[in-house]
Amino acid sequence: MSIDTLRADFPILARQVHGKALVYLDNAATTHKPYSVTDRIVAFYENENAGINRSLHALADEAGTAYEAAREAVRAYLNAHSSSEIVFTSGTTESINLIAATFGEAFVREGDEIVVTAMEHHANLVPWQRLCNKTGAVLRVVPIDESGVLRLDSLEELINGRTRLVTVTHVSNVTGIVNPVSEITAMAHARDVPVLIDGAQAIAHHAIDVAALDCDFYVFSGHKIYSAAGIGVLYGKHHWLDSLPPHHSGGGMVTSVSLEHSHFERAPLRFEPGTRNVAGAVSLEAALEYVMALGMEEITSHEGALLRRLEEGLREMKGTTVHGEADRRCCSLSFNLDAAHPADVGMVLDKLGIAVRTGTHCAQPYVDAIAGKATIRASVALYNTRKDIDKLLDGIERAAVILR
Amino acid sequence: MDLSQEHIITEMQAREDWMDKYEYLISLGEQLRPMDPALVSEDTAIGGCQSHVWIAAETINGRMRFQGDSDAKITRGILAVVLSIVDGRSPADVAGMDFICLRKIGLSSSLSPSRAEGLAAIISRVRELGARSSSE
Ligand SMILES: Cc1ncc(COP(=O)(O)O)c(C=O)c1O
Repeated sequence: MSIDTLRADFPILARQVHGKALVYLDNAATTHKPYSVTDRIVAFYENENAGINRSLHALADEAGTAYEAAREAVRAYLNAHSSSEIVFTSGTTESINLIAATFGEAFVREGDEIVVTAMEHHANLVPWQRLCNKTGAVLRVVPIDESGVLRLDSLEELINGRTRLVTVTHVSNVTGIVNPVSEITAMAHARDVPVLIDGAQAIAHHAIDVAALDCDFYVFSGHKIYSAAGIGVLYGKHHWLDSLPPHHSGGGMVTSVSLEHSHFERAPLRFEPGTRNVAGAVSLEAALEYVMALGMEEITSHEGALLRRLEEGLREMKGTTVHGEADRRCCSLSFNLDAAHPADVGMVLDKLGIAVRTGTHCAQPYVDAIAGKATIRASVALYNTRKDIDKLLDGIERAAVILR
Repeated sequence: MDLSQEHIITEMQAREDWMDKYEYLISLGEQLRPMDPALVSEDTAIGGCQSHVWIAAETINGRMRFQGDSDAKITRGILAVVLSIVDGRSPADVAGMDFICLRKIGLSSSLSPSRAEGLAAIISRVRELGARSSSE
């Protein structure tokens, strides 16, 4: 499929901003939606809308069927064994908080240890800090080397008999560096420690096979892979999910309730109280279908070529610094114009129609370590083109002149 | 350099391309009176901007005198425009300033609190300083 016909699937890409054609390179923050996704949301509300798992009428039945079909689509996409291993949440943040709360309640005690990395998004750091503060457990942090890459030798040393969980991002949302999550999982499993992988920045750019990875938990947000916001996924191996207590409580997650006692549903329903975001779930299914129709291999290679072109262009340009060094990057690249404040660069690019992110990207410890200051981040998706990258490089050159 | 409001509006309106407007704003920022280093502190810092911004004011004979700085060039230019509007005015004037002229120079689209320029945060601090001084 040609890029032009594909771009026509995403109406927002035809927009102008400040009188210029939009160049959207903030895909690590959120992605845009193809018609097939927004059409599916509209079709749901026009034809199937109902509260699920409650009523016996036809609409409730159809909506419930659609919701479970979406769960099955996610299962197939991740290559999980069973759809009961797929919990719908509101996004990565909720998925991680759910595990921190329930895994913490069941398994984490004073003196236990949780292993995180120096590369995490705050969403995969702060919940663990809070859990440790609450329980008296200790947070152990896998350091990075001067290239911004995780030091696996340190991970090996950090895992011990008190380690309860290793949690790591699949892909950095700052440098785009891809972590060797299979290897990390194998290292942890060799000591019987379960592993959570934050897939927020990998899901739209990489084929994900949780069976092959063998990770215990994998989490992501729908909005980062072309679906609506407000829907996300927590994959958990069946025996883990079944061993965890509920997180939020309410209707739909119980089998029987008296005034004194409740019996909880099994996973995934145990973790899905309240009226569900069915429109979000079916929009995610539509998004996964869109991605599968294009082929993830195609997407990975297209985006990889764009990132390499950007990195080359930046490294050729005088007075710029690209942060981190790795063979494989995915989605994001962080850099600075050495002489300019990133906020200034962001403002200039904005007026040229170019959307990037500036700041510390909700990963302040990592950004502080690799850059020592805020950075500019460009991040690609399947609809970006070589022309987008060239416009960004031109824009950075213009910014360098104006901000000299 | 002429820092009167009318002059700034004329100069900004004369430039169609935003790159030219930014270059002009940056030149205004370079003219901004250097801030007394003793005044660069937590107290004068403004949150809500991606860059660091500081604003201090004192009231002499009923007129407010502003100093400010930023580590980002465009933000410093915007700060220069804002301070040129309020500098020398009475605290009550400053507290009630509507900053409508910012719209004439195309900056009001940046008024949303989340914008990197932090213009909304700058304006609310300036008004607050005016209100504080008029209640003293
Ligand atoms: C690596 C990573 N983890 C977690 C999150 C949080 O995702 P959400 O805001 O969709 O919950 C993000 C989003 O930026 C991310 O990049």
